Parts: sequence; structure tokens; C-alpha cells
Amino acid sequence: MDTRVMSGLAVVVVATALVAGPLVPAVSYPTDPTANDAVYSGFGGNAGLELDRQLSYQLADEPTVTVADGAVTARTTITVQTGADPVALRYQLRNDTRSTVATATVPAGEVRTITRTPRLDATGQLTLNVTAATDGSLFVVHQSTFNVSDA
Amino acid sequence: MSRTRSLRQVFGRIHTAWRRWLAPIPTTHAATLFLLACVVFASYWRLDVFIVDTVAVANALANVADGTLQLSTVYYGPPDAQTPGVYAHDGRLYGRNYGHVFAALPILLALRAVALVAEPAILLAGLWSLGIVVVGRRLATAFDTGLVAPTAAMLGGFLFVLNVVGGAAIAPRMFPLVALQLVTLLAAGGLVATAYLLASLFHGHRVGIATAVATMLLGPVGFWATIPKRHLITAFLVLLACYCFARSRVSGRLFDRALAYVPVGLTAWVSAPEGFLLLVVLGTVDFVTADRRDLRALLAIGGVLFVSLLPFFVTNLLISGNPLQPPRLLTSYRGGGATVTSQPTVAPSNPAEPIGGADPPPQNGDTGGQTGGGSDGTGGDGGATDTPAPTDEASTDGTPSTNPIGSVIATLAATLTALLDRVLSQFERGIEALDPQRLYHVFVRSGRIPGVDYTQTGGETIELTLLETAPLLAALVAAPGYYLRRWLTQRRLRVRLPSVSTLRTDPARATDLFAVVFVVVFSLVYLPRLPVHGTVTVRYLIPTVPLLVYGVARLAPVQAVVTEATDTLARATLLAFGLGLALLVAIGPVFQPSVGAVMQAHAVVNLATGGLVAGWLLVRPDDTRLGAVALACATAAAALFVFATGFEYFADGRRYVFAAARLIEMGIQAVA
Repeated sequence: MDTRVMSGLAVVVVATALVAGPLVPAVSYPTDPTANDAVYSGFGGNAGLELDRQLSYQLADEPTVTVADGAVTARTTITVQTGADPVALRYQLRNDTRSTVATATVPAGEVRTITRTPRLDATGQLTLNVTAATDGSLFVVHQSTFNVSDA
Repeated sequence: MSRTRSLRQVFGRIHTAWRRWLAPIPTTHAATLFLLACVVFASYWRLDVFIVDTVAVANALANVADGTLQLSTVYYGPPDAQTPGVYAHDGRLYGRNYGHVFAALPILLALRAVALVAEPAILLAGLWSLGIVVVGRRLATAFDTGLVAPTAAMLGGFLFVLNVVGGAAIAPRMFPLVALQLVTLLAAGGLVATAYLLASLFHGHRVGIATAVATMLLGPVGFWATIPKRHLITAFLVLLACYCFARSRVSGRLFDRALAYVPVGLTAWVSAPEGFLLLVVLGTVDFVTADRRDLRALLAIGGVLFVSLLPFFVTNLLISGNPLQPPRLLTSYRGGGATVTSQPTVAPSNPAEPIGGADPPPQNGDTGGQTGGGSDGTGGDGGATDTPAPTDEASTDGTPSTNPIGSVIATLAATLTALLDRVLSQFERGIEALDPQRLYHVFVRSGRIPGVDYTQTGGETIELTLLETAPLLAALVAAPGYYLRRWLTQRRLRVRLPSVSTLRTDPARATDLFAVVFVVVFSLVYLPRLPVHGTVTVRYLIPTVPLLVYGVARLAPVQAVVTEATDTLARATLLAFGLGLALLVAIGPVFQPSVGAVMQAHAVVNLATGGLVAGWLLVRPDDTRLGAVALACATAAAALFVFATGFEYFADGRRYVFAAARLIEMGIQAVA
């Protein structure tokens, strides 16, 4: 009896699924009304959930690259607004074999404009990489490569 | 020919060993409980992303189904893939929890295959109804009553019709989410079945079944059963390891002992730090309590462990190039849209932490690398190149290694050292974090917890403590008092702690040791991050919960209640649940509280029932009727929390997989 009930239900399930499927176009099963909604709906819908900006940053201007006496300097200015955690800024100038790093720290809950000028005794293709680290996460603020000739 | 024969012999031996291992296991009850749990959990299955970190895992699954580990295409979330749980390496983006992803892959492929000829939503509804029918049939056999089976058959059939008529198709873009949720649901079902197996191993079927049902109804399990986070999966694997360990102590067989290490590799594949913790605890306790430590035993265990870790190693190797470096140890990606160009370019201003309810950022300690990703939102080839800089803080000359084997060994050793260093520092932080206020807000009472960012949850105080969502665990709080009282009343002057020889000869004591050490170590590691928003039931500690329930089942008064007052316990639980539900429906419309307020109301009620359990154990532990009422109230309160959160509090605007759930939600609102 039980086995027959289960077998019957199984047959009905498979048959209904097939009929509602794409092989039977005459039967149009309702499409998902939320198919195009955002999948994240938060704890009580999206309402009331504000963005919590832990960090925002903006490169104030393009870095100024200068060459003098075989050394390269890249003057970089960044404006940083921190959230609940301090942010460590790291300005790295490097080529394939050498690198130099300048650092700065912005305390929590502040807005500051920081300028650093990393200097590297090297020419050729150089990379300037500026990152901001906060609370275990790393953000690339700026990255660029440029060629500096010996002249 | 001879090779074929020897292969057959090997497989034959494995098959025989497996059957011998399986033979003493009460698979019928375990299967029934597994099915029951799956049916219950699926009843309030919601198809969406509850915690934003899931977006990264869902994107990872969709991309793995496309044939790539990296996030080449962003299917969910912001187009630049900037969600928590995304990591960057060599300018490519990756998700995490690849063990979860690969477990969901066959389900996803099956869903896609089914969708070619049939409607998956109807098949899922059918499976749910068939599950109800099978559970009814098994319960009818177990209780020898004729009414349950036909009632379950009618209910199953009715619900199927209801779900077909009131339901809708599942959009193919949601299949990865469905697959991930199904894995979590099956793991939750497996967790319940394993809870039964573990408890029944030492205390018989009744205690086993009661433990399983209690585990199923606790907030930390029931609430997260269909939310595709890693916690329930690792909780299941940890409990499975514990059960295999317990069985190995009962049977004394090396095969059983080696099997306990299989979940270690699988746990690491889902969450490397948790796998590492499991390995440390299991290895230590196993070594201390083992009756043999010869080379053969160590080789067998090592072999099984290595094989179980292979998927983890291969995945890491393909992602980071280092088998010991999982995605979680890579740099967290928080956008930035950096591109490599010949001219200096300005990266866009970056609002970090785009949406609430996320896991707090992991403490990588890895700030030496560069993150990158495609500015086109694909995270692919247009991403930042990550040429390793020769130095960090000073100008030095780089000297690349010329010995590849030496380089590999050095890399592995450095990763292992970094991992150990990280875990040890976490322990250190955990011990430093042992301040009463933190412990109080993690384990006892939440309220509005200082330091928790409630803006992430719309200002609602929905973060509860462990006891507030699992009040049954109050028995463990009272356990020392109970033992002290028993010691005083029995006038036994000597306190006898289990010796190492006892641990070797007593399987239950050895298992207790594993449970205690794991709970302490695991809690210490996560304590510095707690309390925190988005955990609701302190979800980081979920892997400890089944072991804590096992601890409750180990208490003699609890066993006495379950075996001597079974009927009272069952009836009182149903009655308390019914009364609680009626009260909830009656009070709700009068006060119209916010979600935070009702969650706090549950917290207080649950704590009160926990107090009842603790009071019973401390004052009248021999009164089994009182014990039954106390345990029933605590179980019913936890179940009510799971029911209300599943069908009402967090239901607004969400899509249930089964239309019947929406009907229940509407029914509650109509009655209210």
C-alpha cells in the first residue's frame, strides 16, 4: 500500500515536472517573479541597510614623476577618509631589481591629504604602486608604469 | 590479468572493510533522522542571499561550472565582483570555500540537465513531498501506529499540489544558489543523523534520537540550515570526525581510526583554518588516547589524511601555485579597479564594504602583496599584474632563486610557518580576549552589545548569544554545580580525574576529551572576533554546538529523563511549542514589535528556559518529571525561535522555494 502510494506520487511528480518543462510549450508554468531581483536581500529587505564606508580615497592629482642625477622621484598626493580603523598607506616605486617604499598612517575617523615622494636610484621601466591597508584588507589606490631614460 | 586480479582483491578488501564498518551502525534510525531533518529544514527554505559573503561563493560555483576556478564572469553582486570573500592573486580574482563549491557542482549540473526537459522547482517540491511520505512511513514503523503513514501520504500529496499550483519556476540564474543551499541542507541533515549515531553509540537509541532532535531544533543549526554558509558544513564534518574517532575507540580497529581523518581534508577544503584546527585537536587527542602508535598505524593515518587533503592541495595549487596556500590566505579583494597602463592613471574612489551583513574582513596580515582585478568587472586578463617586488620596506637588490625544488620547499615551509604563526597568534589573542564582558555578550546575554555595528542590520538588535539560541546548553553551565553537589551529598572525599590509561580504555571518556579540547580551542580562536554583526546565533561557533549537545547528552540526569520519562518529554515539548506559538501569534499584533525587539524577546524567554534547565540540574536532578518539563521548555523555545525566524521575522520580501511556506507565513499574519 505504502509502496504503491510512493510510486504513484513519484510518477505524478515526474510527469508534472515534464509537463511544466520546456518540452511541452503549450503549458507555461509561471516564471520566477523575482528572477531579476538582486539576490541579496539583507536582514529585512534592502531598506534600512546603509552603506558603511570604512574607507574612501582619492588620488588628488596624477603623480609627478621627475628625474634628477640618475634618480627618479614620484610625488603622489592622496586624500583619505578613514572609518572605524586606521589606514596604512604604502607608496612603492620599483623596477625589476630594486624598490623603495614610503609609508604613512591615517588614524581612524579622519580625513587627511598625504603626500609622499618615493625616490629610487634607477632608470628604465618603473612601477608606482600605492596601496591602502585597513583591517586586514588591501586596496589598490593607484598603479602605473612608466619609462625613464638615463638622460 | 594478475594486475586485474590484485586490483579486484584490493577493492574487495575495501568493500568488505566498509561493510564491516557499516554493519553495526543503526542506519535505519540515522536515515530516518536525516530525512526528517531535511524535510523540516526545507520547509522554510528561502531562495536568496542572506549573508553577502555568499555572493563570492555563488560566483565561484558558477565559474567552476564554466570550467574556471577564477571569477572570470560575475554572475551575482556588483559587476566588479567587489564583495567580501573575493581574493586576488596574480591579477585574477577567486572566491573561497571551494570544498562547498565542488560539493555543489554535481547538483548544479544535475539541475541544468533536468531543466532541459523538466521544471526543477516541481521536482524539488516532489522530492520534499516524497520525503514527508517516507518519514511518515518510517515513523509509523517505529511507533507501530497505523495513522501516521496515511496522514503523511495525504499531507505529502496535498503539499505537492499546493506547491505546484502556488509555485513558480526557478530561474536558471538561481541554480548555483539552489545547489549551494542544497549542500548546506544535506550537511545539516547529516549533522542531525551523526548526532544520533554519536550519542547512541554510548547511550542507546533513545538518547541518540533525543540528541538528534535537540540538535535539529537548536537555533544555531535550524536557523542556518538552508543558508549557504560554511559553518554547518564544517560542523557536520567535525562531528563526523568525532563519531569516527569514538567508533575507533569502541572497535579498536585501525581502519576506523584512519577514517576519522577523512573529514579533516574535507573541512580544510571548505575552510582551511577550521580544517587545521580539527587536525591539531584530532591528532593530539588521538595520539594521547591511542593504544598503538607504531609505524604502520601512523602510515595508515598519514595516508588517509594525505588522500583526504588532495582536493584541497590541488585547488590551492591551481589558484595560488602553493598547495598550502588557500584563497583565504591570499589578499582580500576590495576593488580599486587598478589597471596597468603606460601612463599613470587615477583609480576610482572606492567605497569599501558595499553592503551590510557581511563577514567582517579577515585578518590576513598580508599587506605585502598587491591586489588587482579587472576594471571591466571581469577580474580577468585586464587586471593588474602582480609582479613580486623584491623587497618590502627597504631598497635592496633582488636575487631570484635558481633551484626550483629548493624554492618549492622554501615556499611550503614559509607558508606552513606563516599558518602556524597565524594560528598561534590567534590563540594568544583568544586568551587575551577572555574578558568577562565579552564572554557575557557571546555566551549569555546580548541586548544591545557594545562594539557591535548595528548599522549593518538596519539598527536591529538581532545578534543573540549562544545560550539565547541554544538554551539547552544551560545544562552544561550547571554541570559543574551538579557534580559538586553530587560529590558533597555522596561524601566522596577523593576527586578522581580521568587518567591517561582511563582515556585509553574508556571510549566515552576519550570522546569527551576530543569534544572538550575542540570546543575550547575553536572558541578561543574565534573569540577575538566576537561579538560581531551578522552572526545572529554566533554562527562562527556553530561547529562547537553539536559537540556541546553531545555533552548535554552525556549528563546522567538528562539520560535518565530521556529513558525514563520519554512520553512526558515528548508531550511537554509539543505542548510548550504549541503554547509558545499561540502566545507569539496573540502578542505580536498587540505590540507590533520590530525584528530586533522580537529577537530580544526570544532571547529572554530562551534564557529563562535555560535557567529552568540549570535550576533543575542544580536543585532536583533526580526528579525526571521536572527534568522532562525543563528540557521540553528549552527545546520548544529553541524550536519556536527557528520556526518564527524561518517563517515570519526574516520572511518579508523573500522567495520561498516551496509555496506552502509562504502560505504558512500568510496564515500566521492572518491569525495575528
